[in-house]
Amino acid sequence: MIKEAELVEQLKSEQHKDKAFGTLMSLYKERLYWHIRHIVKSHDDTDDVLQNTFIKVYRNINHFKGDSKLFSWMYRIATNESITFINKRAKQLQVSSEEVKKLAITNLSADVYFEGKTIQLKLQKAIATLPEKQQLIFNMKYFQDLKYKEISEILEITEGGLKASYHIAVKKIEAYLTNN
Amino acid sequence: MKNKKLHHIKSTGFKIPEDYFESLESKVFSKTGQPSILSGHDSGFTVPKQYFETIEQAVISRIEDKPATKVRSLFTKKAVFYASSIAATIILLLNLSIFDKTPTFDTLTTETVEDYLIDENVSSYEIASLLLEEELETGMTLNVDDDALEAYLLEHADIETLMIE
Repeated sequence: MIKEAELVEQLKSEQHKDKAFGTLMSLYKERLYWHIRHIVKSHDDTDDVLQNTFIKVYRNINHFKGDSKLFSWMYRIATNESITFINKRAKQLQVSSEEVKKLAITNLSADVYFEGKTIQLKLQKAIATLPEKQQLIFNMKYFQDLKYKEISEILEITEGGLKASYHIAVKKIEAYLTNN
Repeated sequence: MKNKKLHHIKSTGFKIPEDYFESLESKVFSKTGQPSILSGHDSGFTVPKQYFETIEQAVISRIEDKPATKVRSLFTKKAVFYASSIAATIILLLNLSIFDKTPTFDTLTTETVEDYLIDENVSSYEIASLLLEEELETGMTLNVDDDALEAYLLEHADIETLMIE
């Protein structure tokens, strides 16, 4: 497997950029897809955001300084793109971004690309009650099974704070599922 | 001797399975009353068939289609509209008399002045009031040809009035 530093170097060179970008997409497309999908919920919206994310990565790779890992840099772009997408949708519909998220959950029951049972829908509703940062942490840890260290790099928060947030999120979800 | 050896034993010798702490919470979580959903970590979301095979091409074609920076055309509909409006306004203003120069006394023809005096009913006293006394006494000389004067008097003047004056 190609080393990250080597891949970054190739992405920055005019000669190898396109080939390296293909490799990059193959490596991260599924992980980034699921990361975005858990934020925006619908497949079509996820597709839009994922494409925008990769285009942004392609255009801005020269600005990647290497202070963090390429992986966490891309996750950050995906997270920002997803949040921007929700905010834009909220502006279009003239409602708050919380309303947009609630609407996305409501639409899940009619979504052909959601085959979850009642309990999974309930879990999504429970996640939606969490603050934005806790939602991100829960989704990344629980569904994507990312390591605390990785999440810490992506969200730029300490591992200690991250663990505490995840623990609180789990407690809140348990309470929601028990009471509803 | 025993104590010396003890100082060199820094490790406890216990080991844990790899990623044990990473998976511990999930294991505990799955036993807290919701094992059916929490153990599988299945979100219920699905993806259209072949989606991951086509996404790369979709991104590449968008990169190829779009220039790196947005190019703004100078001739947008809005710009053309504004430019046309400005041009039309300038032409209109040029055609209006507001830019006409105020006529000077020299450019006026005698007929124009004559017509003005007749139309506006300006009396001889009003004209005289515009002139200074000195001008009336010294500067005002009539260089009228005798024949022209005679012709004028024959056409316009009332002999009787002249005789009285």
